[in-house]
Amino acid sequence: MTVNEREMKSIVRAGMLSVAIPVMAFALAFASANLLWLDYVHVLIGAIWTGTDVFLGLIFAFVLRTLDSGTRKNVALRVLPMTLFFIPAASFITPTAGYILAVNEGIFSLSSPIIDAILIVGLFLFAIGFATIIPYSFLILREMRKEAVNNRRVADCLAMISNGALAQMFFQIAIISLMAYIVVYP
Amino acid sequence: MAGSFTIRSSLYRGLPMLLVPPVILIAIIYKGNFYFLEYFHVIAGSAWTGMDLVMGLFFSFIMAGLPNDQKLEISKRLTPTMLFFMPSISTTAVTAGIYLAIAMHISFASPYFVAVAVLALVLTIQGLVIFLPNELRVYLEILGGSRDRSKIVRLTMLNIRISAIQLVLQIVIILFMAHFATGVPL
Repeated sequence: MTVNEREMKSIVRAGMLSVAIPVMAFALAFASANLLWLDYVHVLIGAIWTGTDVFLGLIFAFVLRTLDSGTRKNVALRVLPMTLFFIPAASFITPTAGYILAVNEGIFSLSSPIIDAILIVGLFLFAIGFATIIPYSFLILREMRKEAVNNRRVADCLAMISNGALAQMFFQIAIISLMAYIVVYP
Repeated sequence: MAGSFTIRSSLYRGLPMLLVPPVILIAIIYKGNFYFLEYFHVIAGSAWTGMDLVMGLFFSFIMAGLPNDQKLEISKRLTPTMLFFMPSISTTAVTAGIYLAIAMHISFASPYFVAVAVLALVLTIQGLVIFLPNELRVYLEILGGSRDRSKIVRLTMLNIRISAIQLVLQIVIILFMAHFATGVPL
């Protein structure tokens, strides 16, 4: 087994865990039908999702800009459990748990302007992830599987992921303002 | 590249991250607006918790697979930002939480409040007594020309390992936040 194959296996293993743990937590919370656990999963996965966006879009963007291409290539590969596995899982689990919570608390109504605003902002959050972060992560994975890796292309993909995360971060800030509104003015 | 690691360049990036959260919080407290206080607490708390979780779960994975010279290059770039961002976001999230508890008339003697206060205190002390001095030592080493490279890598990896404890405490504190949000007893 080559180093690259070993590395790839460890990336996929970490990625699978990044999907399996949130999915299992959500399944258990859903099965328990306990609002506290559903709220916990919604807030915890949502907070980690926000954290990944702050990290990739704001903090790590500074780091990436001046790194040499070899380091960027290694970082790009090891970022994949977060961008290719966790972010898609969080993009489904966080809104699903939020929807179940809203229905159970009797606040989900399509005629409510706040709920409509949450749905629209949530749609943008989802779309940004699936238009930038996830496809460019796939491109990194595909590039890494080639015999001769194009470091420049990998660096460009990483920059696009960072830009996507920054855009998602602004929508996270917007959706949290709406969530806070629901909590304060139920 | 070494020339860009100056106090001036790190202050240029770091000062907004250090000053913006407390300035916003002071303005909110001065205005006495409960909605904005709640909003700020959730945003700052998500960024802090999310960043801790991302550092403990995903960033540790990124760093663990890199050779020492690449770890060094990343920590040289990441430390100046984290040095300013994390103390600012953590202390303002906790301060907003205290003001929120006062505004919501949550008894300081309630077991839930005591548990959250103890957890927040441990997190803050860890941040100010362990992470901050370590990051400061790394920062000073970087400003001094990064002569002791092994020291930079060692302290950075130590902070990442200790952040696993932060991660567990953050996961527990969110459970209490879910209790405050839903009113469901633990």
